[in-house]
Amino acid sequence: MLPVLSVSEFIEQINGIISGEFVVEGEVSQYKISQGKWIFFDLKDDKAVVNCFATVFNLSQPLEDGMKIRVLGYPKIHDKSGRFSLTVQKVELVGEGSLKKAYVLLKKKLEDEGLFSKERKRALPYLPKKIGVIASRDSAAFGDFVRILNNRWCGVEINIYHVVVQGEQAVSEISDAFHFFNVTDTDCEVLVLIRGGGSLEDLSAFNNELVVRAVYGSKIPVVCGVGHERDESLCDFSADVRASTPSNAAEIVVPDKRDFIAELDFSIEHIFGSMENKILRYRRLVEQNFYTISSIVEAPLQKCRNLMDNFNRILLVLQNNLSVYQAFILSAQRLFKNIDPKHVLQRGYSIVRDQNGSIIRKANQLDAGDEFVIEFTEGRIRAEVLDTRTRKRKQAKLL
Amino acid sequence: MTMDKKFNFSKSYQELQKIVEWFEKTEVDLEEGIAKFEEGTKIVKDLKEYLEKMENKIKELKK
Repeated sequence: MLPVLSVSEFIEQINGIISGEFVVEGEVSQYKISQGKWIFFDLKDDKAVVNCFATVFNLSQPLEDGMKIRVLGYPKIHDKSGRFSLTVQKVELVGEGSLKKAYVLLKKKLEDEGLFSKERKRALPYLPKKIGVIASRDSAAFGDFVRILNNRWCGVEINIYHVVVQGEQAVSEISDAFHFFNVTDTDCEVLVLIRGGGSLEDLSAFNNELVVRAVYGSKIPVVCGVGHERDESLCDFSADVRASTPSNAAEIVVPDKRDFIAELDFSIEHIFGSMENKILRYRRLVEQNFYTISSIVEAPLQKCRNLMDNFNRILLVLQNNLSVYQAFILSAQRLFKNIDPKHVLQRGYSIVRDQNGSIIRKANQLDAGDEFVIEFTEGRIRAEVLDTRTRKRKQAKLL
Repeated sequence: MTMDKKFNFSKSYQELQKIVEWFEKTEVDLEEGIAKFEEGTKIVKDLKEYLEKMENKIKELKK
């Protein structure tokens, strides 16, 4: 005889019998969120359907009708509604199609929330001394990053936080890494999240909401370089700078030594040029001032010079005239010397004058008894005429 | 220059940038300019020397 149970007892017993975890794969339909907290959807295949229940907190993965998923959960009949459902603990997307859909959905959701907004992107520090890298230490991605970094720059401390970048653990390890750099060891100036290429499934950790939010929430600027050039991950969008590849991430965080040196040379050239220019300007200024001053000083000097020239010319003319006069005077002197009566007296001639001092040139100017004066070269005497042979004067007087 | 640990690359580089900016100003005192030019030349020399000598270090963090 079966025992009679109350409804509550019945449901409790059944729940006891069916307890345990199950993984069920199927397609999502009738997906809806209630009061922003509770999620209800049906999981179905060709022949059957099962109700699923989840909390928003449990289900980080946004779902959409038609997506193929694998649900980890436990079955339960709810007391109040009597409904049977699978309480979802974890959802895994199945197949590329679902992943793509989930990617698009999450992208839209986070975009609407402002996680990808360009306004919040921060500038990366120039010439960082300490770089935090979140990657798999053995990956080609990390190898490429280090190689390119070494080629380009030096004096950097690369702190690698090793994580698995694929599979179950990837999400929590990457999230922990961000926590580590932001809370425990906060010296790094920039964080680099890198991984090599892969399928959408391989890269799923980088499209996981927790990881995308960890990137977004980092106080230290983040560069994300996941996959190949054409790959994009949601972390790329929430990071401050997106690198197309891990190598490109290295190119972004440090400059190229050669470019840098060229820039240094340019700086010095620039300074030198600027100095040269200034010196040239000063020189021109000095020359200009000198010209101005000298032209001011030069004008009276020139006048003075002209005056001197004129003076010299006149002096020359005067000198010429003087020598002409001198020559004239000399010849006149010579002439006068020759005609000086005293000069003649020296030769033995004498001058005869009457009492009035007039020169007697002819004998008939005197009569006997007339006094006269004879002038010698030295001294004079008075004399008297004794006799005149001619009487011409008297005759003339008589006539 | 001896490449001791006290040499701060970023600081020196910033100094250089300041000097370059200073030269951008329209009026530059010639005497001061020559001093700054010499300082800039020295910084460039130090920076280049640093770039030649230094290497990157990799440190794996313990979780």
